[in-house]
Amino acid sequence: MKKTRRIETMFEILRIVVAMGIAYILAMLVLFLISEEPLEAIRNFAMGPLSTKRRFSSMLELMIPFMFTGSCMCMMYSANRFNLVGEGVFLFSGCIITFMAFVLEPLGLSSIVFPAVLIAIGALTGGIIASVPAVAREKLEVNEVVVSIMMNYALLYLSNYVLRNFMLDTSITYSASFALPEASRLAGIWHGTRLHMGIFVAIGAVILSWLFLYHTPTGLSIRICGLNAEFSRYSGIHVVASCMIAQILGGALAGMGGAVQILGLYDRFQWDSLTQYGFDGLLVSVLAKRNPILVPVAAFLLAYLRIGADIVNYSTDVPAEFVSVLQAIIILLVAAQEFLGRYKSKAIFNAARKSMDKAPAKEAN
Amino acid sequence: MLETYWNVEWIGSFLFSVIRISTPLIFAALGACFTKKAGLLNMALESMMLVGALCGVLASAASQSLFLGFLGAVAGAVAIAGIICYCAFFLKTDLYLTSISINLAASGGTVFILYLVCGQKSTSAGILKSLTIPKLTIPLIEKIPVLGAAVSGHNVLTYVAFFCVFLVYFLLKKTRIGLRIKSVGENPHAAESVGISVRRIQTISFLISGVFCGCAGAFMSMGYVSWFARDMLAGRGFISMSATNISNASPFLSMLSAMMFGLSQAIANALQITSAPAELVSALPYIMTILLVMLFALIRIGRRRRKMAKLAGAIQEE
Amino acid sequence: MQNISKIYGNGFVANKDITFSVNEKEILALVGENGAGKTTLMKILFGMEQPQSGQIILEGKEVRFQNPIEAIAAGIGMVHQHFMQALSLTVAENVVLGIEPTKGLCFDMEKAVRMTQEVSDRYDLRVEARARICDLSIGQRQKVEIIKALVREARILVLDEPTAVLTPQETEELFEQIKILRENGHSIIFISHKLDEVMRLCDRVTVLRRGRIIGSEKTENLNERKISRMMVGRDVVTSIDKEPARSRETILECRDVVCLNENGRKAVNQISFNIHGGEILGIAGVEGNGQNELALAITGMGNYECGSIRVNGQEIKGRDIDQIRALGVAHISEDRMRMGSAGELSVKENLISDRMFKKEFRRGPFIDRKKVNDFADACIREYEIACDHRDEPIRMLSGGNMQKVIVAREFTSGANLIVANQPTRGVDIGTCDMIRRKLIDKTRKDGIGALLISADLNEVLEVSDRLLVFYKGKIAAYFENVKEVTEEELGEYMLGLKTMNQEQIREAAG
Repeated sequence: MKKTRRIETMFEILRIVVAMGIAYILAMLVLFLISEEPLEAIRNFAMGPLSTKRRFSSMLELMIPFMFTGSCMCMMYSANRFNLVGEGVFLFSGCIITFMAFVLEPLGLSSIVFPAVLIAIGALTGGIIASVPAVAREKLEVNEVVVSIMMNYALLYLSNYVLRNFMLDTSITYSASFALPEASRLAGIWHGTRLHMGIFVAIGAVILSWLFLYHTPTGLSIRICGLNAEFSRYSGIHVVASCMIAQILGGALAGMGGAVQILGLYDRFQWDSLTQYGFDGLLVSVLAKRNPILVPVAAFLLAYLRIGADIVNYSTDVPAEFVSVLQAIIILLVAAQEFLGRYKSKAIFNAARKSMDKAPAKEAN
Repeated sequence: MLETYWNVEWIGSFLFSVIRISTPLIFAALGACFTKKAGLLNMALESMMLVGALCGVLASAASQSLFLGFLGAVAGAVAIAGIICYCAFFLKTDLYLTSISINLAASGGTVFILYLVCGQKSTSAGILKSLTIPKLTIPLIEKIPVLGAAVSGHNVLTYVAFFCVFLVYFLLKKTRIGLRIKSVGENPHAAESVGISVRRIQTISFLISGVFCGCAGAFMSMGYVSWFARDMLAGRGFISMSATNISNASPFLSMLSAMMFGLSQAIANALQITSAPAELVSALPYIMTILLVMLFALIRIGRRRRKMAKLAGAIQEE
Repeated sequence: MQNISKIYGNGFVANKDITFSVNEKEILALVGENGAGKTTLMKILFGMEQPQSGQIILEGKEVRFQNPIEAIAAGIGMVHQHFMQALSLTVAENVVLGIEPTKGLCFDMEKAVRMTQEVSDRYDLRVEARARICDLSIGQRQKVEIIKALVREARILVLDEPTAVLTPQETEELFEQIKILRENGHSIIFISHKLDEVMRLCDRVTVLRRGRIIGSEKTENLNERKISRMMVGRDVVTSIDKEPARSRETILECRDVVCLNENGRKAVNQISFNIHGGEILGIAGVEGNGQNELALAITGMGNYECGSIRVNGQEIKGRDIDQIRALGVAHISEDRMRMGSAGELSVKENLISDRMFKKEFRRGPFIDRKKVNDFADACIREYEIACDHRDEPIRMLSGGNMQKVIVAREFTSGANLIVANQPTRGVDIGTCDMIRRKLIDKTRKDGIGALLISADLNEVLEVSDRLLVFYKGKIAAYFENVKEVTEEELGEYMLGLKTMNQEQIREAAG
């Protein structure tokens, strides 16, 4: 019995390693085939993210949104809901908190309270927005993927509307809002890089999500709903309420992410298309096996891939988008039950036979 | 204000745009009928269409043959369907997760290929000499006021789309494969018990879905516009899927609901040229979709509730 | 079929050295209790399961079926208890599914209708070939299922409890049709619990009990009483010592409860009874006579349309399941995988699924890990759950140990009414024994009441204090003292040969 568990765990890890490996080799192959200086490209892809302080810090920087959206998707996915509204929320929350920053500016809040208030507003916005597909799913039995994807587009245009009509700075050449008040911005923490306080907020969010999902009764009831809805009903859990909470909290996390991203990295709100961070969250949560505590690891892996691809993109001739294909391959292989399944059942079978040979009398009991 | 719109020419051209906008939605909704009848939701319509659109442009530009271009579009979409089937039915990855991640891969992957071919990431316009599928004027009807303006002069594929409604009806209703698809969707155990492989039928339904999405993709990049642009589908796959779900996978009703969504898009387009804020108008079709889907769900739930109440009432009376 | 043995992966012996035969132009009845091994035997015949030993000989030749398709091709047809039909398709379409006639590209509907009509005419199975299945009655749908087998030229037809879902008139019709089939040279294997039907229809009866053949005789040499004795005998009597029940206050009060099943029929029909503290009320009966629906209604998982169910004096209608549990109901469900546990979750998490919000397991907003661990370890010790660790996913446990986890949870929930629906189904003898002893212990020591639903007569006779027998959704018999009941008597009530009068049954509500 013990052996079976060990073999299963081993294969879980092996599957992730092999999936990443296959994706990585595929990436090398692509680089090798299409790049004019393949060795340079491969070197950049593999070693680039770790080569300079600037690159390393930008990798950490990129982990921040991934951690937020990753824990957002962990929430949704734990309840077995594919509510993808995190994508739209991330963008829209960034837009709303920029707007609110201008509204709240006259209050003269300190540079600690101001960002905190704005992040809270972002979370609130996210929670409210995410409740729409959640209600549609839980009360009306409408597919949450459709509603959330439609909402993402609607939120994109809505955010464009707010940007163009309420806070567009016409004195600059590109389309962006007025400059954010200095007090509202998150302070940098590493001199000479753009890394900011947001990383602590992100780590805090990850830890809180983990505590919530794995150490509170509500979190456990959400996970039970996600794994076996019939069993949760039997246990007296309110399925509708639990799944709603999971989705609303997920939205709040994405909302915080959008706020932190804007306040940490930008001096003006300037997003005019979807950021993709919400969708990246899906990969992060699949890699993390729905457990927020593993989200930083998964976020690191993804950030490493991304920065590697970015370096390849501007140093050679290969566009960074090939990473999105790799991402899909990783998701598919990591989540595939049958991938390496035959080896796994063989290993379990062999282990069982071995233990039977050793102690036939014991097994007979 | 009203006069500028409420005239014969405007109505004619408005109806024309409804039909034009509805074309890809109809194709994809028809494709979704097959998977829905087989008991599955096809959430990868979006990526199938997107890849179809790109392959159409590439194949027609490379071969300078319209036929090969169209074939390329269909082949691309079917290939995506095949990948999904392999992952979901053979590797046993969750179908939702498979579809969503394939959608993500397609939106990035098409940009990647676009860049490799054209050297830029936003559009193939002006760089690739891709072909477009010709328009067709209908000799007599063309002359009829309003109607002529609305139905004549469309892209060939538009007429094909409407013809396909009948084709799908025929395939689902009158052929062996249609029968098997329906039986698998309704009672997989029954199908299995008479020797029908559920996995095979589901795969076939996805591949057929792919063919229709290929047509939709070809229309998008070789008819609706004459180039490929990144994320040019903008959620049309999900709108089509909703159209099929609302209409319970009946081909005729799917066409009607696809046109209903087309109408809201056409209204948005018409409003673009007014003083209404452009961004809000662009959001309109998506908001309309959400509202319509919810409305139909409310109707469905209300109907079910009444039925249950009636049943309970009958017992109480006894 | 000769010397068929089938042992399942969990060591459960479903069939042991079974040899039986069916002749041409014969209707053979296969009777036996639930779990006697009839279904497994038929699954082997139909190629859905592979036997460990033994052979199947069809018309003098040995055959081996890897799957149902091969069995169908060899001329074996099966009418399943749950119809294998697609509801929105027509009769003809369902009949020809898998062997569809085609005309060019098209499916040839005309030919399908002709094929259906031909069979239905020949055997007098009158069904409208163009009607949709969903518009048909249950009886007609069964005919479709028979036609389906006949169109594939089945010579041996297995009918798995065909009359369970039929009205008396439909049953009569079915019997006529089965006789016509016999005249046409078909062999029929008729699986049933209803002895009057078996006596009326069949030529020969084969009785199975606990995976073995008890006997096979011509019907004319048998009577219902004899068969019932063969079926319901107990081979090993494991008696459990227990103190007599001390009746205390009423815990559960059911009055005229009516439940509907998904077909809109009355699964439970005006049932009234009480359960007091400190006693176990058993419900015996062949499965599918309303016991399950009753258990679901009492625990809030299902609905009931009329009557009242009161737990500790409180009506449960309109209450959520957590409220019903708070009133004092614990529920060991019949299906431990689907309803009773979440396989991916750990033993520990499965143990607290119904009580994680309770104060005793919380520290502030969090789950108190130490208390939960202590509780889980205590459960694992007390209920002898064989697992590596409390954090092991429950799906890795054997069936018996999984059931122990569920029982541990429900017995420690603080409820004073335990609804135990088939608590020992499919678990090993040791676990069975432990669960039964714990159930008796709980009622004697803690004064809780228990409702025990079981298809295992041994269990109901040994464990319960008072006993109800269910037949067709009604109480067929009530025994104040289980010790006085003989299994022959019980068999006759269970199989509907006898029914007590209203007066006697009403005492159950006392």
